[in-house]
Amino acid sequence: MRKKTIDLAKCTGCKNCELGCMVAHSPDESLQQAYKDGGIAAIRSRCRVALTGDGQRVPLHCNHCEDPQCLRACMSGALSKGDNGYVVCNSDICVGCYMCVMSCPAGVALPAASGKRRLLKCDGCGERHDMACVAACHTGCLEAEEIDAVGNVVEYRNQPDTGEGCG
Amino acid sequence: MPHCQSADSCLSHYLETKTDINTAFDRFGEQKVKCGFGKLGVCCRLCSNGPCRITPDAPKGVCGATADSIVARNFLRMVAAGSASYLHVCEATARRLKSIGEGVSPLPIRSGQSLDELAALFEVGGSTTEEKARLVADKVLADLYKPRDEKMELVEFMVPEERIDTWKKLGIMPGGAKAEVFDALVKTSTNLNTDPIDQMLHVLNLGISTGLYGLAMTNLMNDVIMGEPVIRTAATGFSVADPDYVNIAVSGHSHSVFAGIVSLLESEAGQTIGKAVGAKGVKLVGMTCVGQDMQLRAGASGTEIFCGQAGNNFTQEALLATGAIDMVISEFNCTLSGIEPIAAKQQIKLICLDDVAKQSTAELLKDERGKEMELARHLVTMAAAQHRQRRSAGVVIDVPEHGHSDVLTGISEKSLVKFLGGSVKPLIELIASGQIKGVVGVLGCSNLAEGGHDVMTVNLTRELIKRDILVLSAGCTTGGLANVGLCSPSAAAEAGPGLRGVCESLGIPPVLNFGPCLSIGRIEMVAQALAAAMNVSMPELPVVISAPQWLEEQALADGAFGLAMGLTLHLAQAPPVTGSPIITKLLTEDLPAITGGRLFIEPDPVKTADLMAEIIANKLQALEVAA
Repeated sequence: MRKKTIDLAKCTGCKNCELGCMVAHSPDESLQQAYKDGGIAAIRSRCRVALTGDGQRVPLHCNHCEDPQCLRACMSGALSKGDNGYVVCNSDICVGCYMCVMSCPAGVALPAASGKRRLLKCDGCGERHDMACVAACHTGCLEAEEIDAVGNVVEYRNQPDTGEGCG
Repeated sequence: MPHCQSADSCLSHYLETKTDINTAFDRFGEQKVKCGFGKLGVCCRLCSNGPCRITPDAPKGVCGATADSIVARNFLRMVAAGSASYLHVCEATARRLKSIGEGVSPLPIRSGQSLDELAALFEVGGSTTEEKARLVADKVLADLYKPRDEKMELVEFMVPEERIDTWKKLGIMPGGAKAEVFDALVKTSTNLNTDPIDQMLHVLNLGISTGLYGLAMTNLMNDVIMGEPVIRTAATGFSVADPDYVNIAVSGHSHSVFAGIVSLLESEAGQTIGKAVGAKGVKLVGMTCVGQDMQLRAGASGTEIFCGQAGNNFTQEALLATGAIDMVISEFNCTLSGIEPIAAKQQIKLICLDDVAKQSTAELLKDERGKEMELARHLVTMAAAQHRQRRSAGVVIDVPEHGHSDVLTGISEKSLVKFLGGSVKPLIELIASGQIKGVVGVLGCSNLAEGGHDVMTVNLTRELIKRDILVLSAGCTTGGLANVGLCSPSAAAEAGPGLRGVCESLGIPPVLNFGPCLSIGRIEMVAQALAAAMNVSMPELPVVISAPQWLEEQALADGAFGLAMGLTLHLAQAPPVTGSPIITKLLTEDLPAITGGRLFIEPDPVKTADLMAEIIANKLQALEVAA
């Protein structure tokens, strides 16, 4: 599994991680096409850069928790944890009850903005050779490395109050 | 980090041996991760509420501007800067011509015939050479400096009537070129114009003054001062630099800025300056486009003292690494900052002749009209001193075997017609008979994107000639194509059977080398001549142009000219407009009904060549000419 390190001191808020995520989830992985179709819920970014009350930029990314609260709350069976450790959502099964959205401690289980009611969440780019958000990061804020673990793969650096994931 | 590759394998290999220098080929990898918002054109930095970036969750800037408005503003600013740059060259050339006419600049008029033709074309009168030079230059300068609400007068002499009618209908006939650039800046400032269509019409307007004045007019005036191109064979590549001479590399776009130096070096007095420091003499080496201009006109000026064109914009760092160059003189753009540390290491003197091109470690010696010969003597003396110093310091010289010695050059709108026997009809007949399937202009810059340096340019050109399509080239594309051998007659072997037969019978290559990017203006004149001879409008013409590896703002202004002229333009990489649905649709779908031009984007060389062949075949079919 890939561990994602997020160095808050290096985030400039450029949001290219968000664009990279959109492109990775668009049909032909083209920036132009993904942007043009950006209104389509299916290719909204799964990660985002948020601001804290005191103006600190915080990239929010799925932790793929060892004991995922979203998965525990899922009643349709859409969410599952694969052999590779990533928690993924099967859109065909998801009914959009959004119990996962209520349960996620990191706030990164997102309701689809339009179209069919369903969950949008990070799939860890499990089927890609790299993580799209990390590949799009210019500043060195996001970094990925392969590790032997089954969850809790996001680690924040340079944060006074380290956000604890679940599990 | 691995080197970015070049289509020129000899160059790639040479760069790999130079591990002690840092070049664009190294830095390309370091800059690989690009900002998606910048690529799409949807980042607005115009006010303190920004920068605003348009996303699905934030579809408008703080001011309320949409992606369409933001893209339009950014794009118009880029085109305005590109247009301004070419107009700067045009103005400098006109001022030189005027100064010669006034007897202030002690420089020869090398082509009185070109001047006579120009004076006749613009109906300026004048009885002596000097008077004609003044009158033509005054006419050009007057147009450039007109206010925006006064139309430039010479436009109507330079394009077919159907273009004038189209441009008048669209309201894009340019007023004074400099005023048009000025108001483009006003228009694109904070909380001014937000209408993407109005801004795109302004882009086309700037395209017209860029093409007709920045490109074509500059060429015509430089032909007067430096002489007309004559078809001949010349050498290209790093091998042109002979370390036994004092070598001055030239960079920029204004050929006549070098008129004094060329005159001095043609004289025994100039060569003596080099011989005095133990060299065989002093020579000029073409580094960027102004070298292409020298190559193009070397049949008329600087024949013996211009060694040849070394390459293009992204070969300059490697050229300096050879150690064969003693001085770089730069008067305009395309001189990379990256040469500065290499020049320091190799003890190469860097000189700029215009503050617009001032590099941080270069010495600025302003080119003043009337003092051309003093400046020339000063520069050549400095170069000779530098040569002696470098030799005594024992600099390492390592010039690789690179380039070709049989490149066909000197091709212009006039020399081509002369070569064809006085008219473009033989070319049309070859197209009509199907022996040549069409004509494509592969033009403009080189970049390191699109697979590497010149990779798309060379691959596309190979695909085109294979399909019996004749390629006309101007700009850095030419430097790349010449250095891989495609501008040499032996490249005919790579062409399809029809084109190969034509090339072999005439002893020409399948890629015709028009020289610098300014010669895009010459290729558009060839297109006009073809349209006139076929009695068709520009949009009907079975010609496609491509800037496969466009680099910079000037290229976008050139592209706007092509689209205003009604031509179909290909780019491998989309300009930063694709964040706007309105502008993307305008350029790629709606333009045929507006100017007759069309833009298409395709990064794959095979698909591009297929599409171009199809577009040309369709146009020929529409004209009922056999394809």
